[in-house]
Amino acid sequence: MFSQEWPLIFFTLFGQLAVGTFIVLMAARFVLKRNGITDLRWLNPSLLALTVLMAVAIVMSMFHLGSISNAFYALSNAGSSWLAREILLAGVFLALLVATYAISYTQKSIDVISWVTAAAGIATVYAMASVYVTTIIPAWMHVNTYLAYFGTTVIYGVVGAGLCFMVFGRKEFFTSHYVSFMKKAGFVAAGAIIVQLIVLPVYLTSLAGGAPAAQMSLNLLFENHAWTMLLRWLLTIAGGGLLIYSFYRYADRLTKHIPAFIYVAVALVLIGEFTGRYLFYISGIPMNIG
Amino acid sequence: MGQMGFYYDLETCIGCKGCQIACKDKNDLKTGELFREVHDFEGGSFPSPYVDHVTISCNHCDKPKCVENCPTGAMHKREDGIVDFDHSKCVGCKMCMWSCPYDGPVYLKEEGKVAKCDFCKDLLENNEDPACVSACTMRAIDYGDIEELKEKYGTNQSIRYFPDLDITKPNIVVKQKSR
Repeated sequence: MFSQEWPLIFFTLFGQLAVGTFIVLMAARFVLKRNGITDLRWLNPSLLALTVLMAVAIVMSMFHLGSISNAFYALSNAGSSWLAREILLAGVFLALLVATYAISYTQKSIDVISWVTAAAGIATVYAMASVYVTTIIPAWMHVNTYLAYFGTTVIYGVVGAGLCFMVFGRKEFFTSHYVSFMKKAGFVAAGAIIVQLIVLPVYLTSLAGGAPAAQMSLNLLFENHAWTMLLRWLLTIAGGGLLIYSFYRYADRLTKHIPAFIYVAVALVLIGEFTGRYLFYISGIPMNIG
Repeated sequence: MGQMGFYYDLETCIGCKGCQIACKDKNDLKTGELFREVHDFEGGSFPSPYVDHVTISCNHCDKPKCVENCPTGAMHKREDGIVDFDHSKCVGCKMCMWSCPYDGPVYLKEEGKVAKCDFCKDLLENNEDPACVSACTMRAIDYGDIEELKEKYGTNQSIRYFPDLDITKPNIVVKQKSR
């Protein structure tokens, strides 16, 4: 049923990619600055790319609406509706991204605004997950939703930051400080995967013991999508593992040339998380009469 | 007025779907769009098979999650407890549909908006009964102030086919079919 929610799949994934990448880039900026590296050529183009990405995410979300002309009403009930809060926070995050880019472009300090933007980004992801947790759909009414959304934010953030370094800062990429940062970031992403895998059995068990709709979600996952579920984790783990491995095994070679398998590994992670989000939506079966 | 609600006598209901049709006609709904729906459940085995009919619409809940989660405020609760919707504000996000365990809100594809049972508020204003109540040949549906309905018919609100009542606290009184 919810496999038709493509606009929401892209909105949540693009939004989490933008939030995660921004936070990881700001962490990289902080670490590099402490090591005396202040010439960050990737910074402005990356901020511009993230702004465009977040804008695209918000435009994508509008395709979910039946009456776009009424979109301006969608903030009216922010007092109790997580959807209204999500829309509001996504807009605030986009505005702050624009402001961060503008300040950085004029070569002024983004020390303060980067913290505010990062906080707005985290709040946006929290609101995104809360929208689903507060429904009557058992497969979504679980802490697993928060872990999945923040997990994707972290994993996409690390991959997105790596892509920004590769695309926008190639000449300076993979000096020892960059490699060292990406190694640490890679382990944080691995941690995000491990936490989700630990909670996964708890989540599936709660579905098995839950309302009829919860059991229908579980049956749908295991009877129709068992291989997809396995593939989702294999892709993310294989891609992430390959990236972390390459930072150790090929650190010297990477400074001269980025081999094709790095791009393949990035693609595996991106597709793995996309598959996870697809499964999230199709497993959403509402409680009902019966 | 306190809180409006419905009474369903599922022992008397014969599953004719007259209420469903009257509601659909009153609200001029298209194919696949129902504000009130009669669900049929079959079970048991020879020599004791059974069939249950459960008519249900919006239950104008005390804790309507559709109202809580609607981003526009289009879904709202009136002073008389009716959960109503402002069609002009609806953005068609379907959030209310993800918030109701009774399939109350319905997406109207042609309009790109959601609508639902409004208790036939226009008929109530003219001291007429809601369309489903008038149409029921078995007189299995009644309506009124929920406290008065409880005094008249008892306090049972749950049947085996309903989700957990605590989720939204529906304003219904139900007479369950005895077996």
